[in-house]
Amino acid sequence: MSVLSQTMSHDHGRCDALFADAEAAAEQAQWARCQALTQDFRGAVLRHFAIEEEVIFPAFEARSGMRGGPTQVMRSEHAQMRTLLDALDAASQANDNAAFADAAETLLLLMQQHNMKEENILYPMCDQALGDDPDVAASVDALAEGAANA
Amino acid sequence: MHALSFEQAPPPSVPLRFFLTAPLFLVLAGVLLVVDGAAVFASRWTPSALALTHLLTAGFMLQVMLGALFQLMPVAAGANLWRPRLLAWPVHLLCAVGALALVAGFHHGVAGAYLAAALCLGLGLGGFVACALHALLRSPARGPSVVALRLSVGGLVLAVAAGASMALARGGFVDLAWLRLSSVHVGIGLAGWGGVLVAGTAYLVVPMFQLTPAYPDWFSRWYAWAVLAAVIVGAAVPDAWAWLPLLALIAGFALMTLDRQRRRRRAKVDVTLRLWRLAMLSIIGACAAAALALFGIGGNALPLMVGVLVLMGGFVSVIVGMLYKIVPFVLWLYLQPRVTKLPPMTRMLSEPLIAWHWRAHLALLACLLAAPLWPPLGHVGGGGMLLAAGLLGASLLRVVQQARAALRRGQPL
Repeated sequence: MSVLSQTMSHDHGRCDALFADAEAAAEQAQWARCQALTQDFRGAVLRHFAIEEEVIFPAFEARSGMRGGPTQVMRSEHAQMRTLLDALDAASQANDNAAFADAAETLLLLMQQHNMKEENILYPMCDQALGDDPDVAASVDALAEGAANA
Repeated sequence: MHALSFEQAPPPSVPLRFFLTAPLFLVLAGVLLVVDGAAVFASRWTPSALALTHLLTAGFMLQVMLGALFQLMPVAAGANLWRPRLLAWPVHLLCAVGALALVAGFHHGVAGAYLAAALCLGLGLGGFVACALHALLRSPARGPSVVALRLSVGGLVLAVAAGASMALARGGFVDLAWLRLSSVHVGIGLAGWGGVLVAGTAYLVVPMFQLTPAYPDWFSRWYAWAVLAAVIVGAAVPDAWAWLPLLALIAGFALMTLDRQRRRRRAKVDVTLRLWRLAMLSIIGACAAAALALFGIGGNALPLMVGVLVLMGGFVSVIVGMLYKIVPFVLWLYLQPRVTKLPPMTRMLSEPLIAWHWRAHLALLACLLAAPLWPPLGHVGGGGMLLAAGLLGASLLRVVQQARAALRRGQPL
């Protein structure tokens, strides 16, 4: 597994852990904690999306010539997840357990099947296509460092 | 580079036709038990017991597994089936009719029904397997799930070939010596096809639903191959001992899965987690009981209990747990870009209905486990089966109705 696959997959795991902690806090009605963890989770996911949408996907599209394919599907799923992240955030602010559980369950499944497609298919393709791209390597390194310092 | 598009996940009608047909086979199983319950639990070889077994395996399980493969292969394995919408029609129809014919053959001993079953299931599954293997072998994706899917589809071919030979032998079309394949048919069908398919799916969905650690690399990389080797040993060596490695492997998967779930990060306990745990415990119990039954311990009753534990406790529980996640999710994914005010996925299901189904499922399992000791309980189990199947069907239909209503609201004419 090359650095891109490894770092980006590892970041999925970090986001999952934050999600689980936020959900556990909501289950226990610890709303202040839940709000903070939801914010952390949302921030981590949005940062991950930004690196993909601004650096990795454009580089992959330029290198492979595939514009309407996998990256397009990933972008539209990011948009779906952004809506659910907002709903999750709003539910935590409103201390609304039912709304939080609704958004969390849907978001979790969407996020997991999305990660599965990236980890099994898209990242390996990116490893192959972008192994020597300095901009991509710098962004991926920055993400890895950010995660290590978090 | 392989031209790959994730958009080739099939439209929801493709998997849903299989998922919504499946509970009907449970209803038929309930009817059969109500009518014939005592005969079912007299011995595993009675026509009624064989008919019931195949309502569950060739009917309920096969339908859901085919629907799940149509959905899972493109998403999880990058394996895009050839024209899924066109392919799903004949596969669905032929397999449903084939399963009914097979059950009719067993129950009424009609030669023509066996022939029809062998033809329908052979054609339907032959077409599906050809397309599935073509897609799986061309897939650029790597990983243990893809390997497990390939091997399990290979297992399906062998299980159906052995089954078809035996069906034709029962119908009087070929030599009765083919009936000796029954242990191989059960071993390959339940472990090589069903078990490996569940394992390949579990590597993906167990961590996904509950945020558990992944299955260890050494395990997921070698498990499907080990099952294959153990089935070959069981089939090749004419001794009861030869099946023990396979039983150990199956119990090992169940223990590994329980261990993953014990270490989950998610605090929430939902019905899918409960059903999976019940399934894994049932499978461990089944393996222990099967090890005794192989050596003739436990008389007629123990093999029947193994059957109940494997089919109802194991496969049906896992499958129901998956249906409660997959059906709402598939429809939600389809609706999301099309509808403005979409209800959350969780609201498409009714929690009270699911809670009642869980209780009915537990009561049904307990009743069927006791029935080999006192066969008249089989009739009571039939009532339980009808209730459980009805609750499952009602839950799934509710999701479809909610989706239809959302689509109507979201698309004013």
